[in-house]
Amino acid sequence: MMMPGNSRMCAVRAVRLPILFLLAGVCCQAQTGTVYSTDQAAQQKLRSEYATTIGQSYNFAFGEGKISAPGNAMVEGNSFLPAQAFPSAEYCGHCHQEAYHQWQQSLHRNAFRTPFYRASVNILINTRGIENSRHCDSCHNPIGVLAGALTEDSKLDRHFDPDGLTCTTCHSVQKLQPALGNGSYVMGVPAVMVDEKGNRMPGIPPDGEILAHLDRHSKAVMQDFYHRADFCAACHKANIPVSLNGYKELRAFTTYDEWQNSKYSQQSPLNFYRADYTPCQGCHMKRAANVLPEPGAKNGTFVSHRWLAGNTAVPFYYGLTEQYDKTIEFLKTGNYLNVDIFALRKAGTTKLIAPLEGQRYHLAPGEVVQAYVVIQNKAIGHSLVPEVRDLYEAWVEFEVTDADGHVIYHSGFIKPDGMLDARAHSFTNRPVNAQGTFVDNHKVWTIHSNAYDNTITAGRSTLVRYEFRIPEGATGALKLEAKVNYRHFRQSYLNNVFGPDHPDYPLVELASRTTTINVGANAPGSTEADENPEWMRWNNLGISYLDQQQYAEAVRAFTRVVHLRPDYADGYTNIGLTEISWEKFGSARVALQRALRVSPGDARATFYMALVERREGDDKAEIADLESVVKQFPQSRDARRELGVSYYQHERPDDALIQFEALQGIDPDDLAAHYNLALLYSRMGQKDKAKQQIGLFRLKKNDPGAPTYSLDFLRLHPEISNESKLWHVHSDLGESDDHASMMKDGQK
Amino acid sequence: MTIGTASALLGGEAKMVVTAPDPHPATPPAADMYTGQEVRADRLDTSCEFSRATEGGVARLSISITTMRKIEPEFAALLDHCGGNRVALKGLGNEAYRCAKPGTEQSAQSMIVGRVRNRAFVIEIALGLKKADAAGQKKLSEEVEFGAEQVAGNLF
Repeated sequence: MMMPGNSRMCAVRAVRLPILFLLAGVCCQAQTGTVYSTDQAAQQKLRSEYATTIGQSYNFAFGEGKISAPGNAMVEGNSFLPAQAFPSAEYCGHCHQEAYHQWQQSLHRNAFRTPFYRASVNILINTRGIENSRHCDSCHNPIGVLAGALTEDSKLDRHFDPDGLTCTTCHSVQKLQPALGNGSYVMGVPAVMVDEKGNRMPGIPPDGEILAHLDRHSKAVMQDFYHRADFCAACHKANIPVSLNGYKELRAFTTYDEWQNSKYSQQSPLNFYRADYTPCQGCHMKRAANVLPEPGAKNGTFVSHRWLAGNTAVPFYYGLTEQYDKTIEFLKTGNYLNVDIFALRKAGTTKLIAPLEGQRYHLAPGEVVQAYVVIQNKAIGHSLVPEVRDLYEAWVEFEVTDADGHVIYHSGFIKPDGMLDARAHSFTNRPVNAQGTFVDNHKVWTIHSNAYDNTITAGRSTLVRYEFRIPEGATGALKLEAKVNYRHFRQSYLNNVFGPDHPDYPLVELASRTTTINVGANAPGSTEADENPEWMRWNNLGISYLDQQQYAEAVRAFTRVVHLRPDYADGYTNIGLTEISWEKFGSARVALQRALRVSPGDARATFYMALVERREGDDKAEIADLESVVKQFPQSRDARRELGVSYYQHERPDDALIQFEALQGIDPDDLAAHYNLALLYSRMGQKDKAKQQIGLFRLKKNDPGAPTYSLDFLRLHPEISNESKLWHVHSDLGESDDHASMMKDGQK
Repeated sequence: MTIGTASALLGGEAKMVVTAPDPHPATPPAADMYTGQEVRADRLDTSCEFSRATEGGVARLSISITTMRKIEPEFAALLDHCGGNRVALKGLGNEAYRCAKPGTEQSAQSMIVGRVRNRAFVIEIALGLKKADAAGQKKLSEEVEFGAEQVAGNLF
């Protein structure tokens, strides 16, 4: 079989040539340390000798034989693997040219070498010792970890560093561990071919052998799970183990769990909206026409090995213009967010002028108004912003200008020094240490608490309120503009990495909306073509109110939804779950019954009905309903958890055990699973298992003293303190007129 | 830079000589003023020279790190040692330039001068041979760039 675009066999290339040999014109050598051979015993002997040599000077600080701790990387054979065992990306690229071209510019390739990573990992190395960086490099530099390079006074050649996650790191993963993250993969010995019996054959074969047995090449380098989200979970899920921080096991980020709970996994019935099944690869490895020869292409298209996402900084720094341009395009054209300037509210009133374009209202000079901006995480399979949002900046910029362009109000501006307006509505967090100080420079091992964490999780919306005064004497049109902006990284982190003298890093507008209001009379107008339908706008407002614990307002908003869409079962379910939130179970039942009339057997409504039935003491109905939900959604952690609780409460320990073990299979870090399994194992006399589970529970449960570190930080940072309130108003008016009015009313 | 990396750059097993200040200096340099991190003694201003005897002579890889108190004039002074053909390199430290020392144009030699924040680095490979053909010189330049990235990466 001929490879597309190639009329001759690709030349065999060595992995890397010593300079002098090249200068002397000597032909290619096979890579050292790994000979292409079917002799498994000989291969094992070579590896064993290498491992013994490395092991003699390796610092097994986290336990004898634990080569990757405090990371989770595992390798078949559980011993060191020489770096030369991994064929280089350049080697793969001599046939897979499109993949190589894309990969070279990708974040996976640049996972180790970038200054943004090196700056923070160097602090860890310099203050705690290089052995601690195995935690980070289990994902950022697996070859470094598995070769045994991350130990004091290592003498290994680090030529693998610039290639970060090279082709043969991902394409050698043979198995996945439970979704623990921090490198929860099992790496095989890299092989480009398997033999007739399917045994992996390390080393680089002659090209002719690959071409003659493409199926055996494919078997060596492909696994079914490469197409699944749990493959990505091996690294796009991270925690800070107690061996690193000497404190507690803390969850750092878990993009995988966010996806698993989102509409795109189709594994949870509880999402506000539905979507087609889309794993991580569906967005981040989209198929596109290949330009260069690529044997892995199908019908002229190839799954992207660029992994386009939010990182503009790395292509900007390295001048990778193609990757940079495609990243910007990815961010701006994905329709990931919806920005909705949905309503106005005049100070001192409770009436919402909403939806804004459809109403008749009057605005007078001098009046104080609040603009209600609803930001929807519409089409992202994880939170905005995912992962290390202590380093990234995403925020809402809101500006009001008059007809002459004079600024009346502006929030979320960039200051002359490049820093973001401290009072901007930011999707970021503030991890703090035991002294209550913001953990800057990503010193994750010092984190004790999260003083502030603002995000929009997948499928949900958030309401941002801006208050401004219409100037006295103002006439004509006022333009309101709301944008969600993004910068990778935040300015203070860039200053830490480079010092203050660095170029301005790219700022990308992810989504925006502009609307015009008039001083004086405003008549109903038309909605923009790309705006959500009205029922969805009210639904998103309701979701925002719900998350801000404004339950009465949420019910009112969801009631507008069902008025517009009486056929929409989820509208009634939303009323029901809101009523449950503030314990109005009778009202919840009415709404959920309506939902089930519209859509009989609907799992979402059934789940919430089960909670009502539990409250009412109707255990038979409660259990039957939860069993029905679990049957439809066996990977739903919420359904498994609640059914486990139901069984436990009704003296069915064996059934409860099944549910909590299943829950632990979905999320190995679920606290309820640890706690309840500890109780159940103990009751069943399985003392060792009980001890293990309670130990894990204690390790992972929140430190009750942790909020005090947060309070110290919030006391010193009123701008963040205001932001950390569930619902708050952005205003330049000091104590807002609205607030003064409400206080006055309260004293009546 | 590890001895293994340096040896690979020089084509075989190399020897290393490190010149570092007294690990307990009376007046430690004002390093890492941007991060505020206390600098470990072995991360102070240092010179390393790796060497390997070859048929053509002695191949050398030398690295020096200095902390600048005033970046602009001090870095400019370092670049003055560079000679005429200075090429700015992208994605290396805060800034970096490939150049050749005056008088070495006919040798197989390549040098990079760069900085990470206020810490300047100079890395040079001299193979002790006559200048190679274009392909060989390109490869040499690539290896020096790799070496410079190793140094810069450790300084970040």
